[in-house]
Amino acid sequence: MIKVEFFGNYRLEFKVSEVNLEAKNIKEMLEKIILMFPKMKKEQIKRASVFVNDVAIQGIFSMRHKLKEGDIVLMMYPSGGG
Amino acid sequence: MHSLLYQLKDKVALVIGCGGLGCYVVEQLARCGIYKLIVVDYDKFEESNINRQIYCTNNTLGLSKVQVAKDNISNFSNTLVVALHIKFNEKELLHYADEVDIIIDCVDNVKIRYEIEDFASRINVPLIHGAINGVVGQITTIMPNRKMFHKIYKNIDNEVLPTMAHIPALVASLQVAETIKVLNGLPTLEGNLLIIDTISSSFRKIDIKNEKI
Repeated sequence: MIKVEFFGNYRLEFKVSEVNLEAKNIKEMLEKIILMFPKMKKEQIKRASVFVNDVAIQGIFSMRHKLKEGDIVLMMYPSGGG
Repeated sequence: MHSLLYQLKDKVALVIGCGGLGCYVVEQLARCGIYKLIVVDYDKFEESNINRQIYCTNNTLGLSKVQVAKDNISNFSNTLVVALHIKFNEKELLHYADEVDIIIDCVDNVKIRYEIEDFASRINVPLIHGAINGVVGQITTIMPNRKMFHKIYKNIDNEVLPTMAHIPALVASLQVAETIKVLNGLPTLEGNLLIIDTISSSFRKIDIKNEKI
């Protein structure tokens, strides 16, 4: 089981602070989140900044990043404004 | 005067962007007694800025943001202000390269941030990054040639959500704190991204030097 925490606008818009789920990698985790929260648009989920155990998970292979029991994943909208 | 501020008396900061973050950054650095600010922004104030940009008032609508910043600072500080009403332009800013000690990123889009990071590396000065989106924000310090933005951003076309006055104030204040620490040689956020969520009242330090891809 992994814990997914939602930051900022996810928490605000979708009224969810965290969920626990089983997923073997980031891709599977995102797919499960989309199923759990149909109001969240795919693009909203896929553009999220994702951090696993407080380490940034970015780059083209980030979807394949393996998750293990007890991982804590944090998702937030990336900040680009000023 | 606080002992941390002595180091600012002969320092020059290049602040790129004079909107939500930039207004607060230049105001605070001037009040901290920095020697000189070079402020870059090609925009003029418009009504939609009033909710979060402190130099935007009914009297400054339509005026150059950098000129308004300069005029405001002259009312309370001896800090020299060079107001550059231009877009970020490496060629133009190279004229100031020799005197700049630090660059502060207060821009509103990701694409320009990559250019600013390259410029900071080219002139070999630290870059203080700050960004906001809706109810969240982030800050880090990037030393020359570290190439951190590709670790922070997936895409250059991030959606920017509406924000409120307290978000840029919070992030800008932490950018100023980072600036003061860098100029005093104190430990900074380098290698870490401080993310702030005002909804869950959380501050989290994310490791970006060991980013996994």
